[in-house]
Amino acid sequence: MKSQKAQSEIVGLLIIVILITVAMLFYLSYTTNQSDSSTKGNLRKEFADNELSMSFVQTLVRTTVPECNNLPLDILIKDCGLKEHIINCYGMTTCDAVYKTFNNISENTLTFWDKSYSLRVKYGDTSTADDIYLNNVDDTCNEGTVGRRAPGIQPIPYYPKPGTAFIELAICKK
Amino acid sequence: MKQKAQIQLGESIFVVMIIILLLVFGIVFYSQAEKESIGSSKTIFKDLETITLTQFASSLTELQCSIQQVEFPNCFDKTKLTAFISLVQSEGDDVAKEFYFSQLGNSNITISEIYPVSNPVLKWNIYQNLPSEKSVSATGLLVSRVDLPVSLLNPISNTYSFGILTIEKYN
Repeated sequence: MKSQKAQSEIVGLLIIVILITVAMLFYLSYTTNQSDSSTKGNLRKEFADNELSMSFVQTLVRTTVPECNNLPLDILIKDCGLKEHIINCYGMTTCDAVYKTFNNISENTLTFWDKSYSLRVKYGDTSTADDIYLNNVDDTCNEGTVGRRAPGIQPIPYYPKPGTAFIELAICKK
Repeated sequence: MKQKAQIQLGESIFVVMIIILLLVFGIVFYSQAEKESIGSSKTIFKDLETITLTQFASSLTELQCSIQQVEFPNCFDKTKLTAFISLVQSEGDDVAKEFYFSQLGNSNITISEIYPVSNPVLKWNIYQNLPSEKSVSATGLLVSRVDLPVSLLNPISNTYSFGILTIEKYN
């Protein structure tokens, strides 16, 4: 009689242990799913920012500048980087024209949309021209930090001369 | 003996009540979790729809710049834009409207020229299909908005402007 009672009590304990285990497993799977879905929730934002940085630099190099006989920006960047000064931009140097155009476009787009960004033109090691930095970032979005998305990069080779200039746009997570 | 049986009965009732409480608590928690998970799946699907729409709109072959049948990515031909608008917005051409509606759904797609700056700003509303007339100005139905930089080619002067392709997706 006593052994039967003990057995039934053990069964009761077992049921409680099983219930607690199931509840804990369910809670764990729920919390894991939640952190996973919060990452997925930024899918569109991440896509939009990545597409924006990539197409921005691609579009930029193709844009023609009316002040420089409608020559595209990649030609102007080359001229500035090589310090050739072959192109006449109505009194401006090509370096000034590049800076002015970059500033104008970024002000009317990225700054207007209240984006946090870092736009650079690196003229490369073979050039003596000063790089262009247009920054609208805080400390959480410095180079190499997690607050910065993958940058869009467009190389512009100085071919047939050595060296390459780069345009780089990095958008910050917001 | 009778008192002992009453105590045991009370114990059993208490245990059953605890188990029922636990079960109710579990069911409530589970339904809440499911509700949240369905909500997040809905957001993901909407995001994916927007991404598909953006990719389709930014690679419309009908509008792409091309030289000797070679297409440039992220580039629209201004003359093709005008022709496209007259095709999509023309009265009676339901086949074109139906085709683009099946691909673009309820959305508003605009291209604006940002550089060189012109006054007024040049704009092309290449596609507009909003849920209803009343909701044209309603922002409550706007699901998402994506802005993409694109080149705008003027094939006559052979110049490229800096433009923005704006895609607004509606419910």
